[in-house]
Amino acid sequence: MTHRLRLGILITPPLLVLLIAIVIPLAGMILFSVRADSFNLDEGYSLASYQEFFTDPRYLRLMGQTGWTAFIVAAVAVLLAYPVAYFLAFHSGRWKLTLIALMIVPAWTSYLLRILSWKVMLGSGGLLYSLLNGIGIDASSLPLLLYSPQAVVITLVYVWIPFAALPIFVTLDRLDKRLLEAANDLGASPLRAFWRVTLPISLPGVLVSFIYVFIPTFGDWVTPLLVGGAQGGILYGNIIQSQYTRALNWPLGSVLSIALLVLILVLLLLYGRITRALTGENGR
Amino acid sequence: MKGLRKLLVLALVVFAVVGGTFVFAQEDQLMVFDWAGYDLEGFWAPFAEANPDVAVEFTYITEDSEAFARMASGLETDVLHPCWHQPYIEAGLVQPIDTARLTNWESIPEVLTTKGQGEDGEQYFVPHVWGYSSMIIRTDLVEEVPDSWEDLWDPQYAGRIGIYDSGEVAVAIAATVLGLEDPFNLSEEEQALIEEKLIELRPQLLAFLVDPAEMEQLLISGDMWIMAGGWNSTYMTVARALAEANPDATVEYIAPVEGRFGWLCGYGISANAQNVDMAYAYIDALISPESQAYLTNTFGFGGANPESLPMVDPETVELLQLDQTDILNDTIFLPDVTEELREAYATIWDNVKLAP
Repeated sequence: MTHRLRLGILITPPLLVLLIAIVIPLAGMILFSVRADSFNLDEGYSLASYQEFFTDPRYLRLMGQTGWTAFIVAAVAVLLAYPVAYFLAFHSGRWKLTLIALMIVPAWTSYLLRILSWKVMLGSGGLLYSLLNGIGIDASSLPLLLYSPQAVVITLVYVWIPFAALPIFVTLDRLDKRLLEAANDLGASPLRAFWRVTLPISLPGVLVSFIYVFIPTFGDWVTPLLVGGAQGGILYGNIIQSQYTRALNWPLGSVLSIALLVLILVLLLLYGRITRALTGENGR
Repeated sequence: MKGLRKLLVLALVVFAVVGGTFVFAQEDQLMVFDWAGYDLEGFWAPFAEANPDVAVEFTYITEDSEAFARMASGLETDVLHPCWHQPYIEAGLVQPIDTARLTNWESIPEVLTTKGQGEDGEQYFVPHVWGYSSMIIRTDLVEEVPDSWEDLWDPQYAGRIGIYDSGEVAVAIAATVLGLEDPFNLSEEEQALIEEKLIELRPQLLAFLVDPAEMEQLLISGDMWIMAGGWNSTYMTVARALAEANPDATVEYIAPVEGRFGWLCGYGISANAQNVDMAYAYIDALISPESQAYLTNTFGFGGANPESLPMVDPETVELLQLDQTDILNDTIFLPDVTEELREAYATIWDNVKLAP
């Protein structure tokens, strides 16, 4: 068996999976986006759905609003994940692996279950309100937390923290501890050492975390649907979903999806540039 | 190496046997596309008794436009239970029904059976259940009990109103409040008016709901005061739960002054059904007096087969006026949806959600 043949055999199954699971559906989506009708092929092809997307300000507005929500979720998740990663990397000692496992365990339960558990937490009969009542604050006068844009942000931040902590942990864990000793020897306070040494070195990890959270949040529709209610329940993904499953307007749904894909591709390219600038042109 | 190969062969054999049994077991399977709740065995007990070997598999409908979209995009099922009929008939998604094969067919009043016919005069749907879309109110939590659909726009209920996430019901509510002459035959100007009216309603809303369990839970917890477009079943469940858990709480199922909406759902057989004989047996079981009595006693819905009435709880019947099968006159009957109406519902409802 030649080397090339063996390589071919090894590489064929993943290529097939890629083709069937990603390339063909993507091509189908692009095809649908230029169709004039969802099911009736006789109607031919048209760019009307693209025109509708670009001329109707509401789609772009919702896209902007969703991007903003995703930005907040990603920023808060990274901010909260950083101390977790820092602790794991520098202070967890021999418990490191156990603690990482503990952090990841909730991520093994169903995504849906984790969202639904926040309904129990945020509902008026829920944990948060009981807690407030317990410390003497009359929670019944407070506005409902569940079914609001805030509920969407809280739930998504919770869901993503473990995923955001991992890339930061990896960069911090790989950090050459001698650099910190050197900073110490040169008279830098721990805070200054963190600011000048640890943080800059971990920035690529922070960016990866941010992107990890930002991208799936941009396209998420389940969380807003379940905890967002009438005021926070409509994000960009919900409109895509509605075009496919209710309005039966697959061409417009495809255009909306393609617009999201393109936007995220652009952001990824931008991200690549920033990382390269941060780590030096040649990488590390 | 040899041990590994043996293991591989063994795994393959096990896989083939298990897989084979699985495929074999699939042969006696009936697929039903139905609303959550109708999967309770009480509904199809007569079918299960007669066909103990058949596994009934359910896929769930959450809303009519979604159900139609799923069928149109190729969902596989034998039996379906939508409350829209004409779009399926027009799109060729259902097959004509030979009513002679249904032993309980003769009991169903003609005023209902005509609702399941196509323009070609063939019967495509078997009427099964009718009910209301009205207002369920936690009367102990509101200061004034609303008595009209227009009260949904009253600021005193702001943030405490849940609405069924369906363009159909929302449009019907707005059209009724606006006093449009024919709420189901809308000109473009009227559609724009309705859209504007519904956008005004949005800040009043707590949530768009499709899951009956969520509607019930929100009413029981008191987070939601009014369920707009609520069904008999939700009311029954909430009233029972509150009577047990919270005797101070009161819940009422009102008929707004403009009238409550009425709907009728029927069973059809999919055009690509794999198991047509079983589908007939299943539908026949669901319109049997026993199953229909179970329907009324459990969910408070009206059954299409009046022979079930002697077996149902008289209080329920009186409370919900279920003994008069003439819902066409007693309610604002949601008519069967045409393609134009379907698109109008979808567009208006999407625009309401897209509004800033």
